Amino acid sequence: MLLPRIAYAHRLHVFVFQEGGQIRGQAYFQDGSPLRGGQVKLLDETRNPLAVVPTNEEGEFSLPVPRPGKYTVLVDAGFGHMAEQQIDTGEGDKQGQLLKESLGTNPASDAQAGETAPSGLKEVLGELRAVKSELAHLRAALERQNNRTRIQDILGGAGYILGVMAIVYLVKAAKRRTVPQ
Amino acid sequence: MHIAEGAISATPSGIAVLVGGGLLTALGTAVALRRLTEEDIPQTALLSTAFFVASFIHVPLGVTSVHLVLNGLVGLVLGWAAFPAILVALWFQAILFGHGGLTTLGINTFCMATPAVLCHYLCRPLVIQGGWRAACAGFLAGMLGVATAGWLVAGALALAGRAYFPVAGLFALAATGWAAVEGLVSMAAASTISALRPELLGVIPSRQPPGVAASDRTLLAEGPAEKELIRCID
Repeated sequence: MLLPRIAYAHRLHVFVFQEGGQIRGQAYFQDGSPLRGGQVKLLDETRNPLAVVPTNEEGEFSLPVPRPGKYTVLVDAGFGHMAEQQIDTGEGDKQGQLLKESLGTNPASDAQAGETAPSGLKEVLGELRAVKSELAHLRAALERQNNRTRIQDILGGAGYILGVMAIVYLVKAAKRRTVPQ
Repeated sequence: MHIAEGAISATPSGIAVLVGGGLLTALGTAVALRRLTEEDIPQTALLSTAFFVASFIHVPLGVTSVHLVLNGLVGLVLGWAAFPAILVALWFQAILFGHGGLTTLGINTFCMATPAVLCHYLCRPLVIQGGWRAACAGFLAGMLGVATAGWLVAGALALAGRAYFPVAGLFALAATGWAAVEGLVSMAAASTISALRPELLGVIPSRQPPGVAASDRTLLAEGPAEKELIRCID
């Protein structure tokens, strides 16, 4: 049907990951097309909204992390099309904790820790962040590929339909045989 | 052309629409299954599969995209059997791909199968005459099927609550706009079926010699040599 993306009843997916002090992610439909202009909400553990941002042309979004903890990212494409994913930003703060221990300081976040760390450690931290970011993007691409509708899935569905109709045929034929002529 | 899972279940009127749609679909399917004969099942399976596959072929159009519905063609060929054909196709679309949903399966089936059955009865007098009339019947069925389905979805959304009025208007508008394209595709399909397998559309052959099957009579009535053969049989 000729309808904007928001009016499709096609499955919506969202992938989120933490990068620095941001929760980043991407929302897309089953066919792999990005959700443009969708509404993304960051909810706390009691599901209170903390921030609302739109998705861009690529379906990507970025939310600020208020403090380490468990959050829910809820994507609303309108008309009941929603997807959500949980994220624990406390796990991402382990880097800051390690730095805290190694430096004997009390950095508020890993980003601040990076600023106060010695130059060698700064370099390692930078590389670590780059690897983490690349890994997250790879995971996003992999998940998107896995969720995408494939031709074999469609053919499988067509096979199921033929199977159901074959069962209907068998039932009809069995009824005909049991009805006295 | 689906109402999404959970889209209208938040309001009591929305739940009433879902339950009503479910009951009407159950009724339509029960009538269809009583009328369905063993000979009808292969073409029901074929049209159900075509309906299922057609919705995956998206054509990008700016920031939107389009896909075929084919409920008019399904109804033209199958009549009441459109109910089980569309129900089974939507069931698998919902559980395998998340298109529509299980709670909205009833109302979605009702909105698409009812126009299909209407198309069958409206276009039947035209399609059985074969030739260009069958092609015209295909165009009308395709157009009416998708437009009426869009209006029914819009009606269901409007009944679910005032909050759905804008989306309902969008559905009705989009369905009306897409109807011409759907009509052209259904016309091509009906024309092809009429030429290759006229018995699927119930096309009445020009000569009906006794003792010859309907499909054979249609084939026999093609050329002068075949006509001579019919004369000999008579």
